[in-house]
Amino acid sequence: MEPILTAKDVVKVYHNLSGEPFYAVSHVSMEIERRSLTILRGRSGSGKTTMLNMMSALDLPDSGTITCEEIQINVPDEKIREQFRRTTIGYIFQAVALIPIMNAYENVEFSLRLSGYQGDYRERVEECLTKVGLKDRMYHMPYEMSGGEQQRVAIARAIAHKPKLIFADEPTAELDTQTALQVIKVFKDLIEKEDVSIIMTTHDAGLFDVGDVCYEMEDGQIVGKYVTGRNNESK
Amino acid sequence: MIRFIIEKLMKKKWMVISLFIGCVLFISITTLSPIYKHGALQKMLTDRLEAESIETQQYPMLAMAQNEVFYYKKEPATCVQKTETDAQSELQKLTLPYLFDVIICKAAPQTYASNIKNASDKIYQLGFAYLPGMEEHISIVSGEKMSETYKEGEPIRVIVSKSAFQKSRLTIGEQLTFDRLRDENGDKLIFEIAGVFEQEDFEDPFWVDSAESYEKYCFVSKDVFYEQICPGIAVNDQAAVIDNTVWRLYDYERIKYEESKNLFDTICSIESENIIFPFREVLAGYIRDSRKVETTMRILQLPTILLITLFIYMVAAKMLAMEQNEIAVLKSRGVYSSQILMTYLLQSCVIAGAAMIFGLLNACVLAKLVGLSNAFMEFVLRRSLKIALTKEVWSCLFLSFAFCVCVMTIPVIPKCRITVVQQKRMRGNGAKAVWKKYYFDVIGLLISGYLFYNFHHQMESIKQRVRSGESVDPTLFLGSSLFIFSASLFLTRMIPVFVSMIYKIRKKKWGISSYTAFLQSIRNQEKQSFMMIFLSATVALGIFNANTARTINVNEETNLRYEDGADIVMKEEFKSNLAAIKFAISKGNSDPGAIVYTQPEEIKYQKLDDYISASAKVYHLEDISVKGTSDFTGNGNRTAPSFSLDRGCVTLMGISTKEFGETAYLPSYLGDHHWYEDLNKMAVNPYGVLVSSNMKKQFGLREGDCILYDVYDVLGRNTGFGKGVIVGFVDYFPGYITQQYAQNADGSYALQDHYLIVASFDLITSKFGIQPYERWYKNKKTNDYIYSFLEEEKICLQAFSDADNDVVRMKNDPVFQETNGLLTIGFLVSLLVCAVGFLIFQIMGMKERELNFGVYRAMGLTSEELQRMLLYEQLFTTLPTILGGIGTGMIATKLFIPLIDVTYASGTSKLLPARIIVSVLDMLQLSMIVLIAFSLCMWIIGRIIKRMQIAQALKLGEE
Repeated sequence: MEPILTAKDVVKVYHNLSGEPFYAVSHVSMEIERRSLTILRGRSGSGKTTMLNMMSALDLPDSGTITCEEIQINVPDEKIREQFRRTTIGYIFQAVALIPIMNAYENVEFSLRLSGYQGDYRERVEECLTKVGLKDRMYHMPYEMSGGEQQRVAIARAIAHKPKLIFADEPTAELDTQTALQVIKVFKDLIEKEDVSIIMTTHDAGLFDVGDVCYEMEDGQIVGKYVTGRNNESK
Repeated sequence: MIRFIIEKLMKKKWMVISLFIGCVLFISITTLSPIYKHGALQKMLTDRLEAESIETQQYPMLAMAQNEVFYYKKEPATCVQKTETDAQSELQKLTLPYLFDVIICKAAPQTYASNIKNASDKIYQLGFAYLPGMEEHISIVSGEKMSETYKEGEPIRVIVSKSAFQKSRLTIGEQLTFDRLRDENGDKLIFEIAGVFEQEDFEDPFWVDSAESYEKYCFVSKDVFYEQICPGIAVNDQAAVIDNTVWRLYDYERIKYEESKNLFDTICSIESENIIFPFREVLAGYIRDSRKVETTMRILQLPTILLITLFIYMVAAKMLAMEQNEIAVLKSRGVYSSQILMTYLLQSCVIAGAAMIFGLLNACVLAKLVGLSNAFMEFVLRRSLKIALTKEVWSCLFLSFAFCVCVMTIPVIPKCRITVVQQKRMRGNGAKAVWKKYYFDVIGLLISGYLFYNFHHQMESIKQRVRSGESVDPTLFLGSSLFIFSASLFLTRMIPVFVSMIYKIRKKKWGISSYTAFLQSIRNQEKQSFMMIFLSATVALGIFNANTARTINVNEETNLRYEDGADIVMKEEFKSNLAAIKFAISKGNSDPGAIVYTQPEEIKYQKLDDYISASAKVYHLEDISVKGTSDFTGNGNRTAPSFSLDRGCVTLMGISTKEFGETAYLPSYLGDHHWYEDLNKMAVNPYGVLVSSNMKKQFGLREGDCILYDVYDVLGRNTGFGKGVIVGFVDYFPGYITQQYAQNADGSYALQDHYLIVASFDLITSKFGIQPYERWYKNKKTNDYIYSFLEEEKICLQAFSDADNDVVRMKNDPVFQETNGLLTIGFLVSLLVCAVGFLIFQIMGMKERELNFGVYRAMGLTSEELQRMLLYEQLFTTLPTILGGIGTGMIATKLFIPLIDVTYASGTSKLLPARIIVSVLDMLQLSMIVLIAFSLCMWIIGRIIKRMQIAQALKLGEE
């Protein structure tokens, strides 16, 4: 099956104060399978978030190409990238980044508005919140919810407009193991039922085997790829 | 610690700069008060004394001890000298710095015999005067000096002033003898006119009475006066009087205004029949007005001070909110609350301390500026105030320093107890503000409404209090401030309600930008409320200040011009046979005939034609009486209601309608029709008269009623009557004072109606003969010409007024100066504070929301949409706030300015109804500043968003 997203030879260079280059991501290529949970694992500074940002069109690589569904997304045209972010993908942030002035319902609904979702908003929002088990807290404001609950609302928001790809940057970093596993379980359910692919980063060693594919990153390069679950393959 | 604080301050330099600006403004406004007060009151004291001196042609501040010594005693010289020292010691009770004493001893003029004049000539008299130290203040114009001592067998040489020389027709070398002045042997003393002198310097204060005024005296030396003249008079004439006068010339420039009250009390206790202080009345008036200067100052400053306090508090609270995390972390790591508090206290001290220096300098500059203010937003060059740093200034400085520190530190107190945990719990949990919970806004509005109602009903008594020089209840002014601040709070409560109502119209159907902006404005109101209160209060106050100043200035000027009637009004003295008539009456003639006036030469006035655009001759007769009469026109009018007005309460004006209409000044907004219409009605009927409306009201007069007016001459004799048909009623007429405050026996003031009749100039002339009339002029450009004209022609004036000059004098009045200056400063400060506060608040708010923006952008919101969202937010919060502020300012203007205007009554009463002046220019200036601040803010926000790296913003949020 065609991969949903392909990154080829992606490079991101930062320059320090004395002008010396620092390769945050150095010639990385990867393919994201459809309906899979891909994990980017590595220590802080290994380049996994940078890679994730580039794949989600938040950041531009210095060289290399990233294509998603036959559309190249590493183009300077902001419009194309905005459209891509609006409709094709969902994003879950490390810091729980719900919009503080909106309640759970409105937060989820907001992404429907943004993507121009065709269909009944209410039905879809309730559906998504049910999926993350928060239907009864629909009208609570973010500050009235715990960290885990907020993160689940963020997940509901990320999937609401039926994206093909969901990016999650350390979604479990601020959660305890129990809650973290719950989140992973939600992810897996989503892949089953919503026909999405999820790419997440983590530095949590205990989580690398929960995904379908796991890339290990170090100093901006992929140093290992583990395949678990359905396709048993190793390095 | 200090280094830590300084580093901390450096990190938030924009906030610190704003706080600093706030503190500098606060300190300079509060310190300005004592500095200006000192300078202005001092200047006012000097000015008043000098003005009085110009009027009376005397040294500004002198005391006069006058004693008459009767000489029948053996040692007259000792006696005179004793009187003199007594007087001086009495004067010594008033411990004021003085320049010197001028002492003059005069022996009354007596008839003399001359060796030149014939006995049949007119009888001349000459007295003797001894003025110690006069040698240094005179120059001998002809002849020689007086002799120092008497030498037997030689004539005593005396000197006379130029005027005495001319008036008494003296000649140099002329020898005089007086019957009563003889030497020990009984021989007549011989006096020789040795020289003629004049004042060396005509400005010399030594000449309390000018040398020219000694028309009937010759001056002699001390020796001669005491050794020859005194004994001579004493021996030969028991009734002869020697007049000893001590003038003490105080150094009025060194007198401190603070001492004026004590000074006044001492003067009152010293003053007696013999000792008088001509400046007493000036001092009394000064004390009364200086109180007004002080209260006005405090009152005008109050709103501005409140505003700046609000500003400092706002910035400090904002800065604190940004540091909340740091505090919580410190607290959680075991730092004591007191230590945190201490850090902030020190930090506040550093800021306020630095501000103190600049504040003081700024205050000095501002005080000078206030002294130079001429009108609202208008300054002129004039003698600037002397700036002195009195004790009061220093205490004020340190008090405001302490106050600033408190305002900056107090918000820390509740925050320094909060740990990380509590803080997380509180985040986003916007508690309802205290004022909202307890309805401070509504309460404030109700109180200000009550104050308004209350004062509105007491308007008359307030007017009277102002008239009698009492200071006005400051709560009168508090009403407007309270109204402005409460209305701003109320607006802050109401605006989100309105916005949410608009939101509900379409609810979810709003576009993405407006939807988010709506939610932001409705749900985030607690955080924005402070900024909204501030913005609306600033705008309202700015408008109110501007309108107050404009209204007071314009109304006062209009009143002055109305009172004068025209640009220049002057009355030349008319020659008449008055003296002859008086003489005839004194000789017992009961019917010496009418007074006949001769018109002054007309031709000289043609010189003015180039400088004036119109002129009119106007009769202004005060001594008339009026009564109603039956119709004499034959038009079948009714008989007028019977009434009679006694002399003293009615004025008769005689005008030629065309000239008068062109020359006189009457504000066009008065009355429901143009006053020219009244003049026209008068013009078509030779007997037509206009009468004041109060006569219509009081006596039920109608148009067509006939009246008779009796005119009395200066000797109070009835000179006949004139007839008139009422052709119109006037509420106001150039120069007509509708009501006058008359002081009752118990000292209170009451309004009394004054009446007016305007008749034709020619009719009055034909009926009563030519009477002394006034010349009214309308200037082409400036008023300079009139003074050179008067100087050149040496016109003897009976009355004169120059409207331009009166307006200048009004503008030099410290109360007006400070009103204009302080209101201007208040207006500028509110503009500055408004712009800075707005920018700081918005930009800081944007920085706080950066993570949010990152999220929006990551979710695919375009940067245009984001900017549009922010613009909408401004439209939903800032715009209605500013509009609300303008509305509040205008309402406050409508309600409270008439009240404030009343307290500025000067000179006579407030004649014309107060008119509220709103200057479009001020509104434009204010809007421009707001617009500039707004655009700048939007530009900066736009740049922040454009430059924002989404990934970076998100990262920031993670930290």
